[in-house]
Amino acid sequence: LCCFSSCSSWLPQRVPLRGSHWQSSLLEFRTSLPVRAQPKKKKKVDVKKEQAQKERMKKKLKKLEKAAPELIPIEDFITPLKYTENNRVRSLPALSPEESERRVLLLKKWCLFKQKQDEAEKKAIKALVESQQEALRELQLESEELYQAAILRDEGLFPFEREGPSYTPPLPGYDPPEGKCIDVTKVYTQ
Amino acid sequence: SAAARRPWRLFGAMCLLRLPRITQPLEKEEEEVAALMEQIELERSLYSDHEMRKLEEEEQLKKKMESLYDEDEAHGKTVIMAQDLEEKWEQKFLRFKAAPRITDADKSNDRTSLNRKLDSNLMLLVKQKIGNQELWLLPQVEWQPGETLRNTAERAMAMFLGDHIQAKVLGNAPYGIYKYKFPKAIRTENNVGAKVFFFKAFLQSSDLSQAELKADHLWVTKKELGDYLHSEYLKKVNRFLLD
Repeated sequence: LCCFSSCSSWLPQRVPLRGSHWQSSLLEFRTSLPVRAQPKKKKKVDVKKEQAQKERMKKKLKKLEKAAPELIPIEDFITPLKYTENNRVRSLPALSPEESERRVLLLKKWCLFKQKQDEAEKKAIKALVESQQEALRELQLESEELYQAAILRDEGLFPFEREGPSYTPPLPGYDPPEGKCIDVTKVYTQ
Repeated sequence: SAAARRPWRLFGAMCLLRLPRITQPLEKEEEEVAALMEQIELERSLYSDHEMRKLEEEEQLKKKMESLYDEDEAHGKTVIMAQDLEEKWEQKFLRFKAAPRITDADKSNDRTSLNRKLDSNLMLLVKQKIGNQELWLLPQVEWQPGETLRNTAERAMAMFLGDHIQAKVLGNAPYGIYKYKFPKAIRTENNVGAKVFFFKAFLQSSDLSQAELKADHLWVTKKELGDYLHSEYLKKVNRFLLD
């Protein structure tokens, strides 16, 4: 700038020199440059830019939502890595042929046992149903209104809850040990 | 119901069952197969963390026995071995005494108690006067017009066991029917015989100390029913009882 060169040679004159008519005081060099027109430009362009940005973000979000949700991994089906090491293999004596023979025969006996059990259950259920049908027929012969009342659905029957039998009966006056159960199952959200 | 009066009298009877509290003993085949399944599971399994720890500690112990180096003194802290843990658990288990499966009532064959035969269904039998005979029957009561047969059966139950009995009746329909004709002496045109409709219910409350038992009663299993019921009646009842 030319003002610099003129001010550098500080002559012992009382009247300060002004380099250009934009410079309001001698000590300030670049403060009063034209700044009037810029604020208006900033607002318009910025607003438009911001709107464009928002729309782009919305489009991206929509695309992400449309994509299929990730499947929740079933933890039971993933073997943890520590069980794939070889040193965990159990060392037991090999099966003798008599033993494998015995096993096969036992499984065949089991098949027969289960078949008989199943047939007996089915027969019992059939007898039950027949008995009920006979009772309803007799009831219908007796009186129609009682029959209609009997074939109505019992609303209070279901949901039917019952605790199953245990190996030993409950011990009277048993004080179970105190403890807290902390649930550590992982919950996945989609 | 303006039709001619039917010649049969209607009765509603309730078969109250106390469900089993303990599991039934396994049959011979079941036990053999259970043992086989456990053996196969053991053969196909890998060592668990506890077993790995046990094996490592056994090896360490062997090394210490063979070469008595004083590394254990260098470590300083006492290590709990897996073997010790197992023994501790075994001791704790032996100290626990479970309730016996065969109760006192079983041993004395006290048929009025509910604590007998905990592994099978028990049915209620009461002594009732029919005609001029005292018979052991499932509790029954005559039907009155204005109530359904299920209500009749529930009334029969309440009559013999008191009002505060908790039982779940299985549905509105009867499970079985027993028809019999009155002996010729009292048979009339309008009163040929009786039809007894059976309903089934499960006993919910386990103690009946609150109940006022008004007549002689028994709790019997399906096999023991034959000791008390007539053969025709028994045949009809057996059809709707699953063992």
